Amino acid sequence: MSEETKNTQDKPKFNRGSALTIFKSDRHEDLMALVFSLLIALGVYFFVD
Amino acid sequence: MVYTQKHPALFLIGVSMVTIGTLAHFGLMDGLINYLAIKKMMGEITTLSYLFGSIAIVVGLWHWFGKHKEGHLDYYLSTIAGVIFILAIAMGVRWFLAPFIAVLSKSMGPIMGAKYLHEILGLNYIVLGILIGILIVNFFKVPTWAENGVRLSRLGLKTGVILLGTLYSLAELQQLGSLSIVMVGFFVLGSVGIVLWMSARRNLPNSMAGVLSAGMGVCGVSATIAAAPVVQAKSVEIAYTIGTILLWGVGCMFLFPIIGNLLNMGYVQFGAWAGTGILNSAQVAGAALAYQPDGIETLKVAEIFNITRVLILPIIVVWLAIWYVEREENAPGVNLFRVAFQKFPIFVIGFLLMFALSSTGIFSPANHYKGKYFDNTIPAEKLLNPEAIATLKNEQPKVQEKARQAALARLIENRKVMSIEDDDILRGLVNANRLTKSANTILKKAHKAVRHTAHKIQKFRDFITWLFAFGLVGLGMQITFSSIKQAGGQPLIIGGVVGTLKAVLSLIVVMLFVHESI
Repeated sequence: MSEETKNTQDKPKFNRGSALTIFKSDRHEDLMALVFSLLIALGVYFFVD
Repeated sequence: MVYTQKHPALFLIGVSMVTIGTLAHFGLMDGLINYLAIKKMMGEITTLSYLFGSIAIVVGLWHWFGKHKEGHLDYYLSTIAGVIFILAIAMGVRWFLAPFIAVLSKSMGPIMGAKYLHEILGLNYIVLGILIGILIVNFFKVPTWAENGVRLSRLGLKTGVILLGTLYSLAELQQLGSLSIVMVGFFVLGSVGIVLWMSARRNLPNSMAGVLSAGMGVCGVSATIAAAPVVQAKSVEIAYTIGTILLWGVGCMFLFPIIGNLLNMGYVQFGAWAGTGILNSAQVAGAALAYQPDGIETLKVAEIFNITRVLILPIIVVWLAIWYVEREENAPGVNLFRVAFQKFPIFVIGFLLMFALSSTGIFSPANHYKGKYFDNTIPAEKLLNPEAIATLKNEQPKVQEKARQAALARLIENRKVMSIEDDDILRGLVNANRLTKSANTILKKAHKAVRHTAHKIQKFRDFITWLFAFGLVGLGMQITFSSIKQAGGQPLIIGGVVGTLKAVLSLIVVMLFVHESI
């Protein structure tokens, strides 16, 4: 691994969320996943024969 | 902090996608499409290329030329670059790289029985996508303009898991549910217990032991993160645990499909094994899709087991809370009900909600089974031909179970499947892998003739495929060699012993006791 990569990983890259998610917490991410899936379900229900 | 980068990359990716869509749409890629045998993907190649290419062009122009200020708009719209970056890789791998490897592999001819090298090694779009993600993050670095969006990959996986709920039927969930509760309950509680016992013997701190037991026992990274505050784990202990899980999980993800192919496991068997033996949710999905890239049966079984395991998480968290409080004098008072409520994963409720909605019949006819409904009023050309009937007659003596014998006899007599019950029984016969490949192919053909796909459920399948492809390529981009190296020392030894025990014992249990269909 290059030195540059190491240095980048040592510094905090994001001031919101964590390294694994853009959301504040797992619960927020879960809720967004629920919202997205409900939107997809609504879309499928109304627009697919 | 401003997240959006002034960079032409997103715009250029968008132009490339629209170009590919246009070339495919107007038949200018027909030679390549025929060579790669991807004609069945033409619909998604044009639709998805146009859709995401257009989004990328519009947002890409804003990224490139717009003025960006710190705020929600900057934060959320900057993620589009990473999302399109991952999707472009997933598209390239699914449409071109994986089919090309399949063509090369097939040109070498079957090397083990009737299987080709790429099938045995599980070199499909899922595995290749994850591998490319790993290569990018470790050797080339994820581009800065894409970094924020890569953090959405877990959201894609969770959304995919919730939507999987639409594909399950009540009967299926009841049957697999009882099997998975017994198996998963035994192995999860056993793993947690062994990790705690081994950690005490090797003098690991209680916080390290607690967080490692949750990670090794329940569902990997999520369980580690959920249990960490309960046992007051330090960052380095969380990193050690995640490193151990990733090292073990990635190994299993590649190894399990190879072993499954060598043992010729049925879809239910492999799904049950992967859902029990592999630690991390994402890698369970990766292994299941790697084992059966052209269908979703294995993934569904594996996810049922995985979700049963996730459902046990609150119980484990409460157990660890009690265990930790008993051992640490300065541990804060813990409200057990509050802990269980706070740690319950909402996406599991989402999965159950989707399942409940689907069970009402709003997405497909009420008698649907895996999104397909039964109707055996089929045209004459779809009836089994005399050669197929002769093949099945030759195989009849191999069938021992009375219900299967009767269902097979009715199929032979009528040249079509006569009832939903017969169809389920005959699918069990296929999954049991008792008959020859040609006989199984005939049974699958008979099954397809009487099962009609509900279009809405088919659409859900498409969404699920792409959400998982997106999530798993992004997952690859989060697997760094440095995080895997952190698995060194005691956690790796304990994790390795428990992980091996769980994988081997669950394989033995599956091979001995799981033979039936979904």
